[in-house]
Amino acid sequence: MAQTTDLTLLDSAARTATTSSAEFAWEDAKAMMVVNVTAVSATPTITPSLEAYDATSTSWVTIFTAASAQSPTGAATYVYILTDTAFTPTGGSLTESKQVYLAPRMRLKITHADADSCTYSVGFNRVNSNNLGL
Amino acid sequence: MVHVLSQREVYTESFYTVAFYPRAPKLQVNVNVEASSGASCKLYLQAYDVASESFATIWNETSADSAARDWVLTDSLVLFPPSNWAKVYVTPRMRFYVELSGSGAITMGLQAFELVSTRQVF
Repeated sequence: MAQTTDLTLLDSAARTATTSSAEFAWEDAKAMMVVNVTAVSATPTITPSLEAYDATSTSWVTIFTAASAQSPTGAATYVYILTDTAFTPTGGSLTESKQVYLAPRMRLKITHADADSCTYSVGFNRVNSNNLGL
Repeated sequence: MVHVLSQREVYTESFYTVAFYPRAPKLQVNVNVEASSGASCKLYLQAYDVASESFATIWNETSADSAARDWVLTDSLVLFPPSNWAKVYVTPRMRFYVELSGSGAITMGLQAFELVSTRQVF
């Protein structure tokens, strides 16, 4: 199976507290996640993470947490590459590339370090590669 | 498949190419600079994000150049020679931003070829 569509995990909205997306299904082993910030108030700090569902414990387990919290001062775009290979894309435009196994049942969590408002959306987008990175 | 991203023209300002829709995980990009009168160009590859309905830059050249050049954008871990290979995940909907610097004009066109490799999986 392959993922056939890109997903909007969070629509653009102003948020002041930690937010989780709805559960979503993902069929690919790779993804490009884009956090698009369009407005801020004061100095918000946000950190994206991904959680996978564990059916045994019926709970969510964190499988990825961004290496750095982000404190945008205005419009900003953060691009995360999530991949099951050791392949690390080059170029200075990516926020982070992380080797991680994605799961069929996941949800996104954006942790807010404070109550300052941050307006953002989060997309989970396909990439063309099915390469093992060799 | 060949994608003609910008026609051969004389450019004096930065511009976005048309969007293109590659299906392969590897691309060869030909920056066909034919002439320059003081202008250089720098490429930014952008991928479409469904949530924001906008393009995000995922790769860029490190500096502007007034010479013709080719790039291979690949999902391979091991890069072959020559040197103009970059590790990039190509996505289904992309475009380039071509940033012009310096004064004057540059005559150029931009194309991308989808590449087939036996290392699609392994």
